[in-house]
Amino acid sequence: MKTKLLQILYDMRTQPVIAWVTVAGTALSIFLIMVVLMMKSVTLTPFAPESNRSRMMYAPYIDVRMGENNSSSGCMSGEIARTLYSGLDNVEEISLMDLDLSPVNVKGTSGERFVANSRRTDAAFWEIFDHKLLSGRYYTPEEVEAGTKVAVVSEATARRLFGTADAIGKTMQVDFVNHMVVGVVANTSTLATIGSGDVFTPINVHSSSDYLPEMGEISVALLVSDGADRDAVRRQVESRYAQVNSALASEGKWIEYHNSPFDHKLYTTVTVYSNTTPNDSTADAIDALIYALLLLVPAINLSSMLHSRMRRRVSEIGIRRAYGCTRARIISDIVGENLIVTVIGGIIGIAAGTLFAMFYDGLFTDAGGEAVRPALGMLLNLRTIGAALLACLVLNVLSASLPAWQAARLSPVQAINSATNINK
Amino acid sequence: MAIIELNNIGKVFRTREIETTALENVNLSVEKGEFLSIMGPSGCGKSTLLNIMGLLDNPTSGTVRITDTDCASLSDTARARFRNSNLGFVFQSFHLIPSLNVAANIELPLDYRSDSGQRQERVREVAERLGIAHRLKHLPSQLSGGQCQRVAIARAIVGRPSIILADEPTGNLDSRMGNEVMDLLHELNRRDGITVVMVTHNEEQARRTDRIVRFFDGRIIN
Ligand SMILES: Nc1ncnc2c1ncn2[C@@H]1O[C@H](COP(=O)(O)OP(=O)(O)OP(=O)(O)O)[C@@H](O)[C@H]1O
Ligand SMILES: [Mg+2]
Repeated sequence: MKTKLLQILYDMRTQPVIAWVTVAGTALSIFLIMVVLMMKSVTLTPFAPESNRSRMMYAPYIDVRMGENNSSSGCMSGEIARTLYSGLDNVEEISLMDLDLSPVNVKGTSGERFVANSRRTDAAFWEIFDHKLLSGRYYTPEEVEAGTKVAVVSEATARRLFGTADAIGKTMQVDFVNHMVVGVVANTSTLATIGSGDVFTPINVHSSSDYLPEMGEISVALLVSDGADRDAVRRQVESRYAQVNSALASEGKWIEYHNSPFDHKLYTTVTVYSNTTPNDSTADAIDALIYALLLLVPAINLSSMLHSRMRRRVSEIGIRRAYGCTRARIISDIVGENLIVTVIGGIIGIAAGTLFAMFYDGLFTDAGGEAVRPALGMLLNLRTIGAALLACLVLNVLSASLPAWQAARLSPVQAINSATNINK
Repeated sequence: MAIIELNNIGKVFRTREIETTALENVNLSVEKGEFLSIMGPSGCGKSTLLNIMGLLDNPTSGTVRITDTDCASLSDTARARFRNSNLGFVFQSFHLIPSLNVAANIELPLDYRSDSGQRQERVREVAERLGIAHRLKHLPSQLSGGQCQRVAIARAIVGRPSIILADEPTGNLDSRMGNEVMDLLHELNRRDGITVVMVTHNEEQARRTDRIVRFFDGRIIN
């Protein structure tokens, strides 16, 4: 250990560029891996208003077929949504809602007209997603049923609309239609892609397209019970599909089943199309590919750097072999020495990642509304840091193995007489 | 009793284009406690032979026996162990490890042993014997050539080997320092009974040794 540290210090003095680039390169790649991990944890770790992420499932679309080459896919009618998804075993609650935010034009008494993120929901939405009500109330099932023009807005939106957070009972325009504000909720981060919003209004739970009655403007979010078998939920949904389809058969139509509802991870990692079955393994494959690239690219660079550091030490390796060092020991010494360098770089990278998580808001800011930072603990926890250290280890093994093996492969004479050696 | 026995040693170097025969049919045995010098013109195969004796290289044909061990049958790891406990090496260009100080350079062979007791004492003992005890904390780059070769000799004997193989140990030294190194090698041979095989171009040095073997074109000629 001590001699390895001495060797590293010596390298830093005699080959400062290579040594520092190695450390900086490691630090940079560990930093990037941490940022990716943090962004990942933002999509997967539960936080308000999506505290139930681990229990959520989503059914965004249906795919209606009317023969071989005639199909239409998109959001559902209220009736189809209820037929397919309400009253399933092990599902505690469902919400008919917009799974995506859409921009709306809003105006309050302050006179400013601006664009805000809108989400239309039913009343159950407020039970599945844990928003914090600051004043007023949420809209009720009756209001949703009746299509009453009411709205719940975020605090920041209320201030912008009315110049004050005290907005209850005031009137605002949502896409030029007057709505009464009944509730004000705390600001939420758009990183909560399914629960957040600036303006919430009742969705038309009876929506149905004139052209195709099965289709409409509804998507469904499902809250399953703790530890529920998600495949069992899907099997129930599949048999609901079969029932619906036997009724549709007389019209020559059927609804193609695409394995919905989807788990949170799948739905938030891959793009889900309305007319294909998303591949569960794609989500994992995308993750694996990202991490592999994040590790492989720097590993190749570090490897060539280590290779050139080793070239200056070939004759040293020859001498060590002459005095009884085995090939295995040469390899383990080089890998071990490199591990120290990688860990030094890794610690710098983790420190940089920590500072980034603490002070850089850009990652969490969005165009509309107020940026809400996720809690620091969500970004920086033992898992992120453990994973970063594991990445160090993998980086080390990937980058050191080849140069170490090359160094150990030479016979002692070849090594001792190597021309790159600088004697004395 | 022969401590080193070479039988019908041949060595051919093959590169992509050419084959060089470096040694042909060499038979040589070295007695225990002998101080042998090897002479011959440049390129005649002296270093090649010394490397084969030192188990640093394999002969193309023939057998090597050292302290009654048939070295051909040893695995790579076993050879490393064997070198560690039986052989010491001294090279023309010292071959000290530049990043290690004198003490760590001397200690090197002990790093590859399992018994690790009293290493510091051993290092200090040989350093004092070779007159470099006051330089233990220096890096090789801070030493003169003569001092470097003393460190290399200290490294060669710290593990108490029975054989020292020295390839032109005075080749890079002026005559005064060269004589000092030769005196040291003779002392190690006489007082400690270490067998020494030395390659040299210096007739005067060779004449001080027990026996001279002369090479020409990969063969022994006397
Ligand atoms: N690795 C190698 N590949 C090819 N040829 C080699 C190799 N090593 C040595 N030779 C050749 O083998 C022959 C003997 O070389 P060797 O180094 O043993 O000579 P030497 O007697 O020690 O010479 P010198 O007095 O110059 O040190 C030379 O012709 C040399 O070119
Ligand atoms: Mg030579």
